[in-house]
Amino acid sequence: MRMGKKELARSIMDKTFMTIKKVQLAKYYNTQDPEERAKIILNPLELLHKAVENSKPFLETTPIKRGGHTYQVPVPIRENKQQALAIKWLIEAGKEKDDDMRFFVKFGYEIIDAANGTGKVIKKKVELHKRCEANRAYAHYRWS
Amino acid sequence: MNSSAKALQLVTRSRVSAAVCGSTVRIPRNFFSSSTESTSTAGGTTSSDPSSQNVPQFSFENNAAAEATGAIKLTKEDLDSKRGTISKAMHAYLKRAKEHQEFMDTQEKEFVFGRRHLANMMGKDIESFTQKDVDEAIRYLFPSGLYEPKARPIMRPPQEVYPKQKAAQFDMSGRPHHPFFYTAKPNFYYLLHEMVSKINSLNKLAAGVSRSESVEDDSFSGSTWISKEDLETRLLEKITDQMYSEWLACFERIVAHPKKDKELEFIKAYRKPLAVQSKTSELLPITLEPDGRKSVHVPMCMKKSVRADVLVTVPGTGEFKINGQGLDFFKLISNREAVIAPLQLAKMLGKVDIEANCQGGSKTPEKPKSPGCPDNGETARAIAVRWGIANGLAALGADVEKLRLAGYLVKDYRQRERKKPGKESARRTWTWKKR
Repeated sequence: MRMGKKELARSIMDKTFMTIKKVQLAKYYNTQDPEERAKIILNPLELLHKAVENSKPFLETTPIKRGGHTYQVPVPIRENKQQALAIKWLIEAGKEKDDDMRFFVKFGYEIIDAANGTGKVIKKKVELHKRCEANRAYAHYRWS
Repeated sequence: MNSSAKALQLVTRSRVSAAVCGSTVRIPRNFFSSSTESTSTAGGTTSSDPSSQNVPQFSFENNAAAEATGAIKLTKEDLDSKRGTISKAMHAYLKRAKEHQEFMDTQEKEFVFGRRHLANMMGKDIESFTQKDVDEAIRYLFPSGLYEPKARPIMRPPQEVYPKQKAAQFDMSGRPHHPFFYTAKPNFYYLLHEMVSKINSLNKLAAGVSRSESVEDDSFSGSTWISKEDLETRLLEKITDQMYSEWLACFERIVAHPKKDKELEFIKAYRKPLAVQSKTSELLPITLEPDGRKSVHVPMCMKKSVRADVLVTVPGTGEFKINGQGLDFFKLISNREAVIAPLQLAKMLGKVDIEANCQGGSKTPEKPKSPGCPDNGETARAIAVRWGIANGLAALGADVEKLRLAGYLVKDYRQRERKKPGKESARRTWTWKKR
């Protein structure tokens, strides 16, 4: 929400959920297999929760200066910040340059992808974790 | 003075000296002559009376301590006649106590008199004029704009207004009643002494029980320890913070004991219920409608400048009547959701009828803020009605805890903050430019 415009934020989310529902329904009716149908989540709210949960990073690197050198030290992230980051990344992914698509459409696709474990946001999270893994030698600098 | 009397005096003096040296000698009162020398030499501690029937009894209304330690009652005649045999400390105390008693008596008379006057003034029956009526009358006759309730004028019985005083801590001869008198805070230290002896007895009971067997007890979840001020009023003694924390630590030891169930009453006597539980009695009254349905009227539903009143009727069909219109009164879906929210939580969505009237609010449909504005001050009305619905449901038997946890029972007292000079709006400062 920006400038206190809650109604605008709400209407955007409404349209996003509509997009998600359409996409998921299309998937549902395209398959006849009952097993596959059971796997498809139709509730957009549930899908959103799952997407946020999957995109939450639990480690990040923070610059710590020791002996003149600045090291990128992996550090755990608090629950609140994890959620904030996940949501922020999802929104940013929705805003990325795609002239044909409206924000709520792109946002909806990003949410579906993240819920399935694919897409830009998951990739970003995985890259962050890889960087943390690469710098694990400096992890003790957190307390030195 | 003949020889026998002289012999008597010698004997008494030796006994006095023996007593001074510390031996516990009991001397009957009639053994002494009526002179004051014998009592004053040993500081008054020698003239102890074995038979308490001879000792005059005294007590004052407002003291539990004296009751607990066995008070002695004193009549006015005793005060005057026995003055010769009383120690100076006792004499001073009696004088003070007498003055206090007289003072309280006059205050009591004034209060009773005043209450009758008040009843007359208000035109009410004197016999049925309760303290509540007195309070109302005072509020009416002496309207006060002061914020602090304690600063407003009150009229109470003098026992409630003036602090309680401790009764005489020592008897006529100056000997203290309480065994812990010389600790300077006998009630407090006696209480600690009691608590420790209880711990010791519980330890004996729990001789074979291992610590791991003690289960987490929830029986104290709705209460908290009495505060330092409460303890002070109970014990009639001033207590420092350190003393209070020591006392608390001792009590926590009892509560943590596996066998504490034996002393539950003792523990509960020093606990007071938390605010949540004590507010359950503040639910609104239910009225019986002529058609047999139950309804709750919630007046003064406020949010910003909106004033609404809500009527919740059960059993109902889920009908909404807000200023004559249905739920369509609220153009925004978020406002409709807000109004329905307490009903959804209490699972009474189609089971009650809601009738609400709301007035006020800075913007009305007649004079909207701007044509593009989506809200027009509607949310304030929605929140006011929501509060009314939640309170109505709580009174009708919905789960009060759930509503309270969801925050629907709390009045939103926030108002628009005024703009201040030197700032662009209430808080926003103008951009600082270096030059």
